[in-house]
Amino acid sequence: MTEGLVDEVVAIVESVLAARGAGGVTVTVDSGMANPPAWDSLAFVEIFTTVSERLGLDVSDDDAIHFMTVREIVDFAVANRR
Amino acid sequence: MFLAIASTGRTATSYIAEALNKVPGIAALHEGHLGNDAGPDVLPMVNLDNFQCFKSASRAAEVVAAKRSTAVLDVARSELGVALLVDVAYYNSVLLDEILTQAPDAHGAIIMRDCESFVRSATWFTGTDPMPVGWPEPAKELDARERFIGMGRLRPHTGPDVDAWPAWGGIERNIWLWRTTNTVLCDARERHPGRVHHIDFADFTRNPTAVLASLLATIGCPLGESATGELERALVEARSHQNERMGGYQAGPADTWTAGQRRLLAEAQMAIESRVESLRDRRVG
Repeated sequence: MTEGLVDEVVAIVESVLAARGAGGVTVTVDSGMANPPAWDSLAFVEIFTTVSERLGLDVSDDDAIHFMTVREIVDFAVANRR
Repeated sequence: MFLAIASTGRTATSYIAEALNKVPGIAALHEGHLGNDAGPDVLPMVNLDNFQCFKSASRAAEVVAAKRSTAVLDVARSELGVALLVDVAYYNSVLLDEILTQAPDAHGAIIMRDCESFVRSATWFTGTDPMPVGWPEPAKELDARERFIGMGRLRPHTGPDVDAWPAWGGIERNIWLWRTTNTVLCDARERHPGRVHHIDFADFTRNPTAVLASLLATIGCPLGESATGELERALVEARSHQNERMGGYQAGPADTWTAGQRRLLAEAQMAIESRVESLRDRRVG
């Protein structure tokens, strides 16, 4: 189940980065801000918003700290998904 | 050696980093980036940790251990080939106490600006704030950068200010931000006497070279005549970039504020001025 969620989050992050002009960047469970470099502070906000919407997460800005890496996002989603 | 320069923001921090970075033997970062925000990342990002570290001292200890430990700082300093590494950043306010606890040879400098001019500089009602260190008017639309920085910005998490916060506008919120940040800075100075050096922003604007040269001498990194000349030239050059970045004031002077805003301003100023005086007296004594 978590494996499926990892794939889902990876796909969302890759799509956000591609839409920002960084198509073809490989994202894995170990990826996070600045790794790849295209995951910068501006991409972060879009990833935070898009992942929350697509996974049905009810988040506030306080939760942003849990969106620094794919692994952290998955852990947060497992604990907070409706 | 490591020097962490901390403030509310809107205290010429990018100007200081850009100028100090041109002095031989010093590598200066602005919020972790070498020289200025366009420079490469040298230290791990802690912007989002800022609010978490404000809420929890144990979280601050964890973040410093992971991202600002002596090992992390020494590697950065060594790779840059300098004797002194400086990071000038608003987030140092909540990390300073823990940085100085974990790095016994590190120093801190706190830049304190008067409340009214900080609030006027930091409060934006419309458009894009080029240096979004303060709270915008709540109804203002934010771009991605403004929103990202806002995610880590200090806000009340306990006490009566939590209830008051939703009704406050940008001016009230930035008075709170000024008072809270400067309280945290005074706390760090109190806990590490002799290692946290106070810079009055008005003194700095009058004579930046003298203030920075004095700070460097105080922490044991005095500048020779040639390096002082380099600093002076770098400050002149950086000032032109600074003027491009600042963007002017959208908030009027305090005499145009509401009575409630002026009361909050007076209370904040009195609290911090009294704290600064008390620390100054203690040091003299």
